[in-house]
Amino acid sequence: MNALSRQERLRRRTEETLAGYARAQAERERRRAEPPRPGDLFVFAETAEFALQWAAIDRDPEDEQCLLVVPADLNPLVGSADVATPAGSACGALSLRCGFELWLEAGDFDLEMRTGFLEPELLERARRKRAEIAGGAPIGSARERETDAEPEYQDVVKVLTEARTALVESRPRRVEQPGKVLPFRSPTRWGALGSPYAIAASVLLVVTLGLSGGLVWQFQELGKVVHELGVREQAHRQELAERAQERQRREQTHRRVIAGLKEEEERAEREYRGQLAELERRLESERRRQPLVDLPFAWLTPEGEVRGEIKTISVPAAASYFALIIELSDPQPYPAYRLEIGDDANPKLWSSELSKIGISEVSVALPRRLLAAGEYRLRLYGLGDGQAQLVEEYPLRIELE
Amino acid sequence: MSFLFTEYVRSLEPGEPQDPDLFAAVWEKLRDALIAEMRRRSLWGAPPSYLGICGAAGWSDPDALEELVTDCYAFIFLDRLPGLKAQLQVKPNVEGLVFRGIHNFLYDTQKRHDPLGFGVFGVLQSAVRQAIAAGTLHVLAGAPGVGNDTVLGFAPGSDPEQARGAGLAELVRGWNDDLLPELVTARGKVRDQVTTRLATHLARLPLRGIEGFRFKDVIDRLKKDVRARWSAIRVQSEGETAVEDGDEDFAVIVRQVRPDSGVEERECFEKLLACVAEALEGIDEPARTRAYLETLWAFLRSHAAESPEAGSAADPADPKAYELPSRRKIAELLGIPRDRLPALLASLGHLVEECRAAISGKSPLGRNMGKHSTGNRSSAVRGEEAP
Repeated sequence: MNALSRQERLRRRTEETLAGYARAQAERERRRAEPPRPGDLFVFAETAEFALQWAAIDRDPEDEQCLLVVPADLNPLVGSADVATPAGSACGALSLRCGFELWLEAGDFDLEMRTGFLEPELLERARRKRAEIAGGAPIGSARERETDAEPEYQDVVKVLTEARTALVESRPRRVEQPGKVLPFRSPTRWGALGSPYAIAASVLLVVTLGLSGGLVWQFQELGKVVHELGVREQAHRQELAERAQERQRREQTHRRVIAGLKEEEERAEREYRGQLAELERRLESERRRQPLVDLPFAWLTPEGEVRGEIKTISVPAAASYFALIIELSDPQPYPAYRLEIGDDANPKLWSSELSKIGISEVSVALPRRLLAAGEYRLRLYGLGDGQAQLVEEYPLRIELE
Repeated sequence: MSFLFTEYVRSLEPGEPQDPDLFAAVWEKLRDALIAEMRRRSLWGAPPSYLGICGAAGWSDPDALEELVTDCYAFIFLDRLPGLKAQLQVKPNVEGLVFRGIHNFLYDTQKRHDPLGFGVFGVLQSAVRQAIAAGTLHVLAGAPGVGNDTVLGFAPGSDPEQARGAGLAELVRGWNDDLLPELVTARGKVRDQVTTRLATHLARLPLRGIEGFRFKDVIDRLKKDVRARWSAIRVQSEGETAVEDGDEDFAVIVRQVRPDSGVEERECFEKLLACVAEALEGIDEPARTRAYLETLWAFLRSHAAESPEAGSAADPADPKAYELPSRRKIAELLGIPRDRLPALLASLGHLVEECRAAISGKSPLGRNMGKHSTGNRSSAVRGEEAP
């Protein structure tokens, strides 16, 4: 895509985004003084460090002041308990984490911290997801369940858990019914007959007086139960101590077994490596007996003769060797030569002695695995009179396909 | 300290003219941050097609990089603008959030376009975390959440500088003998089993004299070896023909699950992947057939993404352009009976076709699509179910 069309595409998308944002802001402004309601998005100073918004998705049917909220973040990972809002929606691209719901009182929301809202269809999707979660059956698509298992997603879950805890702990809470914690609900207002607590206290006083006689008998019975519990507790403690000793004995035995197994594994590993090395050696020697076909090669001329582009050899994936034929320009041939191959980091990665073949060439076949792709410098030394004299240098680029 | 991104987010207001200098500065900072994150995730040396940018050989192609910066810009500053603005009501700046957005963008993009690399990374990360939770491994340095820069050791408090990991390449090749192809194709419980197997291999490293390692050293070697093996199956064996009867189905699927370069095509591609995954989940076939189909689908996706022609200008109508592996190799690699491959490929091809039709609006997209629309082909697959 050329730069102009890319810029044009960005310009158009920016305009669309800002137009959508303007509409959402106008709606937010219209709702400014209204009490919070399902669909609203808020931020809380207590969870600022987690970069979350909180979406109100439902209302308690028994208490209209009580709203159910779920956190929403900018991470595109969508697990089985989440709902993604599209980029073009009023709130932009968000992930609603419906598995982290929380009840809040209307008074807990700062109306100035209202950030936006969810369109009705998105609100409905969040409610449906919440209902699915409550249903207890497996939810989400296969891809979403795969996302649940991703370590990256588990990090998201950890952050959400911390954020939820931070919001819960930042406010007073009370337990409304066993097992259900409504963290921020304020005391219910009194009815027309006065304080329901006062009425309940009067009824309780009458009942208490009626039952006082029975209490004496119950205390006696309780004494017996307490004694029996003490005896049982002692027996349990003794049993626990015996089990602990038994566990210790078993642990020692297991440790000995594990040590033995480890030793055995090390021995097997050594044996295996030995066999592997032998196999590889045999394989290599077998390979050497096979003729080499389609052998890639490069003809190298001395650096001084041909200036310009570095000689390049492309080695196909199927080739196990490639050959270099190195031309000599030295008029006085040496009885033997030494070739050194190196790169910038290591000038002598490989070297070997060679003899001249033909009129004025030396040659070498190198295994593909010997050198990585890159640029190398080949130095050819003439050997004679116990001395090595640099004869020529040859730059070479190797490309491995 | 300069809060350039924050200043820019604040400046993006309806009806307000954009400051071109500010935009240019943000663009440059975003590009630099993106490159830094790509280097950290070993993506800078990887083909651009791994991030959905097709038609470029490397990131040295300025057009490829600019295309990626454009996508990243849209992901952060356009798609998530209301969310960023919302955070400015309780936060003094959103610089960290933008950097996090770059991380999320790359993670999400690689997940979609490099299923092989992403899958291998996820399994290794889970295995390492499993070993840390079991007390076998300890984080010596780097990100505690386990990433490329994390240094791990088997003894707590040991020197991270000593965590060299020499000889890892050879060991990793040995692990892959045990882990492939499930390391790439497995889903759900089977993926958990692969993770546990990999954690066991990691736990045995001290027996090979390795007391510590950098996560990056292992993941790079693991991915390199997996990719090499994946491409090796494309190499034709002597005497095998490249195209067999029914391979047209294969070519069609590979061609269709290969991401194209255009934005619209990429969006369609995303929908196509989601559609096929959903259809496979609900397909009315015996469990074994469904498992074969899921494995084959995962293989085709990674094969298409790994294909050297991914993103190139290869003729899309030419089946040979995709270097099809032979049936024998696919059957060997995936553990699927060879004689079942034609029917399975036909079923997958049919699903892909249906999804494409549904996405383009030519047919209704329904949850039970796989149940009744595979028709005769499904029956053919069922008919071959092993007793």
